[in-house]
Amino acid sequence: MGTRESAKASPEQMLYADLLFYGCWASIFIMVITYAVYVSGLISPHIPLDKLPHLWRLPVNDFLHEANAPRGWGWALLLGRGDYLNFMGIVLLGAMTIIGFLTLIPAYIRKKDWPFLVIVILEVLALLLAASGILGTGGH
Amino acid sequence: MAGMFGLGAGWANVPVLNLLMGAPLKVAVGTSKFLLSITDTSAAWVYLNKGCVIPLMAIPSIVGLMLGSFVGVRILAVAKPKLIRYLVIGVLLFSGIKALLKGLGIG
Repeated sequence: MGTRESAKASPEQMLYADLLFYGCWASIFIMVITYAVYVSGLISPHIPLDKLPHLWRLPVNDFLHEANAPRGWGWALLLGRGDYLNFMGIVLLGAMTIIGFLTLIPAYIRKKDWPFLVIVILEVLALLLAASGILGTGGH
Repeated sequence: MAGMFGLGAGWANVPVLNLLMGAPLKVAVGTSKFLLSITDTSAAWVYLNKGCVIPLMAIPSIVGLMLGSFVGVRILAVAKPKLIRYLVIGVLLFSGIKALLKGLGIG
């Protein structure tokens, strides 16, 4: 196999890239709309806009307490509020990596590409663990 | 800039992949961006579930960074690797000096 041929993206890579590309644009579109709704005040937010500049100066635990910010998946119950509505776009964006990897699993099984299959499954498990809310620290 | 240099949290990724491991610069940038998309996604979920995301600041940053990344990747495709290398070195020097001055309490 020549260098140029081996450097070509495989169909699996193209599938992942396409999914991520369209998912990113969908997320941007959703975020622009929900942000406009939020700042225009069409839907009342959980944390009043005028209180935010005071709150974001606080230490993290005080911020969470004063803002009455939900822990774990509690934000899902607040999607009807102007500020938490914005999480829809963020969550879609965060889910795209997981969805992208999930679509690769059948492709790698068909190809019998076991090393890549194991890597993809491990990636999905790691991302699902992060999304589950069990972990307590950031990724970097 | 992140789209062109493959930067993000991994300031060291591109120089390590390119200068130490010998990967072509554009491949190093692509690899860095790809791995950051995974590690940053896991971090984003953790922060989201900890209640540490302020949409008022987060949404403009995300949208701006993503649109900038799309532009940066297209510039990277046509830019000369030597130019990108000098830009990466320049940005790293700038951020290093800024961090040093901050650590020393100057500026």
